[in-house]
Amino acid sequence: MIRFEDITHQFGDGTVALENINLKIDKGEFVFITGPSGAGKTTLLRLLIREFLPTRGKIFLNDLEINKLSKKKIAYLRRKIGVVYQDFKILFDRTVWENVILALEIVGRSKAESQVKTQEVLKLVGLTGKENLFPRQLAGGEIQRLGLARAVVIEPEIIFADEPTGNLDPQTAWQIVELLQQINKQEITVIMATHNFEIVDSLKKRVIRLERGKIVTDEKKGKYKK
Amino acid sequence: MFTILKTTFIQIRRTPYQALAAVMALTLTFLAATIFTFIFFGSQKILKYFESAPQVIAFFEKGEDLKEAEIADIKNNLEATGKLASFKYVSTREAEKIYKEKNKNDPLLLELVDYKILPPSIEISATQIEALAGLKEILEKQPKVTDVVFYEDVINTLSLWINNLRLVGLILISYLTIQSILILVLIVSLKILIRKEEIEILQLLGASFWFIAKPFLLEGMLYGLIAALMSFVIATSLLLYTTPIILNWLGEIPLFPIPFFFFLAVLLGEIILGGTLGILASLLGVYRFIK
Repeated sequence: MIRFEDITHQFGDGTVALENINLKIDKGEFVFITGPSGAGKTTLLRLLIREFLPTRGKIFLNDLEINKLSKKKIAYLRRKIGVVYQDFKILFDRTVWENVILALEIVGRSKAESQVKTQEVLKLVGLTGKENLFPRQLAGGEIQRLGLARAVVIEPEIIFADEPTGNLDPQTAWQIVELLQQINKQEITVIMATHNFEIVDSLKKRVIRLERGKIVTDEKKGKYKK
Repeated sequence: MFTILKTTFIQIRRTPYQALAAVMALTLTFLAATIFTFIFFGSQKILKYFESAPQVIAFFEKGEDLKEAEIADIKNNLEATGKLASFKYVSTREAEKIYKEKNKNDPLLLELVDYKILPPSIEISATQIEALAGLKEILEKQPKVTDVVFYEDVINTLSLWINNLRLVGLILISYLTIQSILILVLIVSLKILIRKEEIEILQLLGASFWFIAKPFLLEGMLYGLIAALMSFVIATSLLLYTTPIILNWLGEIPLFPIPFFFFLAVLLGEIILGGTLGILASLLGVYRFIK
C-alpha cells in the first residue's frame, strides 16, 4: 500500500533527515515507527502527505506516485491520510463538533451525512456530550481524541499518528492506543510514531526503528530498543 | 453554503475596522463613478438639446413681418446648398406669444412689450455643424436682416468641456479603482496573515484552494455590494437635493424628469460592478498569499 523507494531527504541547512529508506507497509497493518528525537519519524509523515518533496527517491500510495502529484492533487492525497499530530493542530476557535464536521465539509460530504458521521465518530472516541465545548475546555487526552476523531471521520485509508501520546499521562495514552487498535480492526492502516516503549512492547506489532535517518531494524513483532 | 457564509461573517466581525476601511474606500470609488455617470448622461442630453436646437437665427427689422414671397425666397436660397436640415419663420405675433409665455410671471415686463417692438426671425439648423458657416453667410446677405446669431461656437465649446470632463472623470475613477483594489488586497492579505495557522491546518486536512478562498471572495463581494448601494443612495440623494438648483441653472433645457429606469439601470450596473470588483480584488490577495 505504501512504498518508500530509496528515499533520502536533506534539509536546506545540510541536515540529512532520511537516508536510503526502503520501506513497504501493507493495507491493514499496524506499524510503530520508533527512534530518538531527530531520527526522521516526522519527516516520513511529512513526505507521505507531500508537505515537501524528497531529495531523492520515490514514494507510492497504492499506484499513485506521490512525488509526481501536481499541486492541485495534493489536497486529494491528504484526504486519504488521516493525521493525528503531537501538537493537536486543532482549531481552538471552533467547537468539538465544528472541528470534526469541518473535515467532512472539506471532502464535500452532504450536511445530513456529515451530521450522522460526526455523531458516530464522537461516540467512538468518547466525546459524546462535549460537542458544544471548545478545545480549551477539554483535557489534554480529550483534545487528542478530538484530533483522532477528525482524522477518522473522513474514513481514510491510513491513519498516521505522530507521537499522539507524547503529552499525555499513561492512562490517557493507553486510551488513545486502544482507539487506534479499534480503528485498525476496520482494515485502516495505522502508523504510529512513538517514544512510548511500554506501548510498543505490549502490543507486539511491527516495529520499524529509525536512527539518524536510517532504518536500523524492522521487526514483525518487535520491541522498542532503547 | 451556509458554512461559508457563517465563516465570512465571523471573519468580518473579528476585524470590523478593516471591513469599514474596505467599504469606505470602495464607496468613495463608486460615489465618484455614480456622480460622473449622472454628469455623463446629463451632459449627453444637454449636448443633444443644443444640437437639435436652431443653430442659426437671423433677426429682421422690428415690428415688420416678411411677405410670403420673401420668406420663400430665403428658404430656396438656403435649400440650394443641400445642407439645410430645418427652416422656421417666427412672425412678430408669434414672437410676442413666445415672449409672453416666457415672462408670464412678470406682469411689468408683459405691459412694456408688444409685437410692434419685436423682430421676426428665421431659425435654421444644418445637416452638419461644418455647413453652418456657409448658411450663416447666405442669411447675412438677405435684405432686411439686422442680426445673425450663430450657435456653432456654443456647441463646440460645450463639446470640448464635456469631453474634458469625461476625461477627468475617467482618470479620477481609474485612480480610485486602483486604490480600492490595492486597499482590498492589503486587507485580505492581513486577514490571511491573521488566519495563517488555521489556513495551514486546513491545507493539511486536504482543503482545496477554493475551499479556503471562498470566504475571502464572499467577503470582498459583500464589501463591493455594500459600497455600491451606499454610493448609489448618496449620489441619488445629492441629485434630488440639487435638482432645484440644476433646474434653475439649465433654464429651458429639458433634462428632467429623469426616467426611473435610468436609476434602476445605474443601480443594477453598480451592484454588478461592485460585486465583481470585490471578488476580483479579494482573489488577487488570496491568490498571492495562499499560493
